[in-house]
Amino acid sequence: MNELKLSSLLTPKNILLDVKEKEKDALLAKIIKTFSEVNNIADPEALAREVTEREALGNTGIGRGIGFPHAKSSQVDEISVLLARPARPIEYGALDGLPVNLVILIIAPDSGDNNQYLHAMARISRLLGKSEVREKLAQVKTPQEAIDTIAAFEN
Amino acid sequence: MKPKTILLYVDSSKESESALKAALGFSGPQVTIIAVNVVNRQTVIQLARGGSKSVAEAEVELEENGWCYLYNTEEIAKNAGAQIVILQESGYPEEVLPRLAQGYGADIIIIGQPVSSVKDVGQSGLAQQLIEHAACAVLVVR
Repeated sequence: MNELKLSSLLTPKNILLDVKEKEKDALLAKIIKTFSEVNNIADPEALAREVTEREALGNTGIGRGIGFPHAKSSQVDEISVLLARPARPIEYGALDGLPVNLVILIIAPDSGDNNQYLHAMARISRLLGKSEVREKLAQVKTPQEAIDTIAAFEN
Repeated sequence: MKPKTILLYVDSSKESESALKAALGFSGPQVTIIAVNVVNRQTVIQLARGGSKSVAEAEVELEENGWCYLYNTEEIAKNAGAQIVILQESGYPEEVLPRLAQGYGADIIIIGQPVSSVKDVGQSGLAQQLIEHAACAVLVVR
């Protein structure tokens, strides 16, 4: 199986740095709106529903300041992501109680390869679980710098 | 009494799937499943001693596989309409699980164990250690 790398899914358009929203719901709404624009999603409201319904069944704060909302949707043809860094840490309701400094949204086609989806999420979770990756991403000044940083750790 | 917070141990075993089914059997609107995978330090060392991997490579493999099991578990649970959160920890399951159960106020720990391990419950193994050290109920599923 080809290893799907996060850096290969990112472009400067699907990275938001220093997002001003101060609450989780507003942040997620901003992320989904931008994701929908970048990926030409036909029905952004339906996508928002899919993400928030999954979120309601279990907080996607995976600890260490990472929020990882994810869903499968008929509105994408391939695994797509959006990386957001809030301007200030956001209370996310994660199990470890830590506010979130980094949020990555991943949407996979609902009829796609489930193993690829699971492995992509596993790789991203492991990568962002490293403190040195999070520290570097906290300091990047441009989206391209964020991509280069992630690529450096993936290679 | 129906548990409200369930600590579910997730690993690569088939019995882990049975443990998930047992946890889903308890699920309801007020019930939260906390699914935990533990990157077992002993397994990391064993893999590295095998010679084909460094400690770092063994850790990467176990962490990534662990997240896969967790996301698979989460997907099954959410598709069943259950409330679930996932987390990964490093250490020894017999130490990590009781600590987390206490920290999150779990009413029950559910683990899957192979038949031979269940027979050995009175002697050794994870199940026995959890029964001895956890402050809550422990359900061992084969």
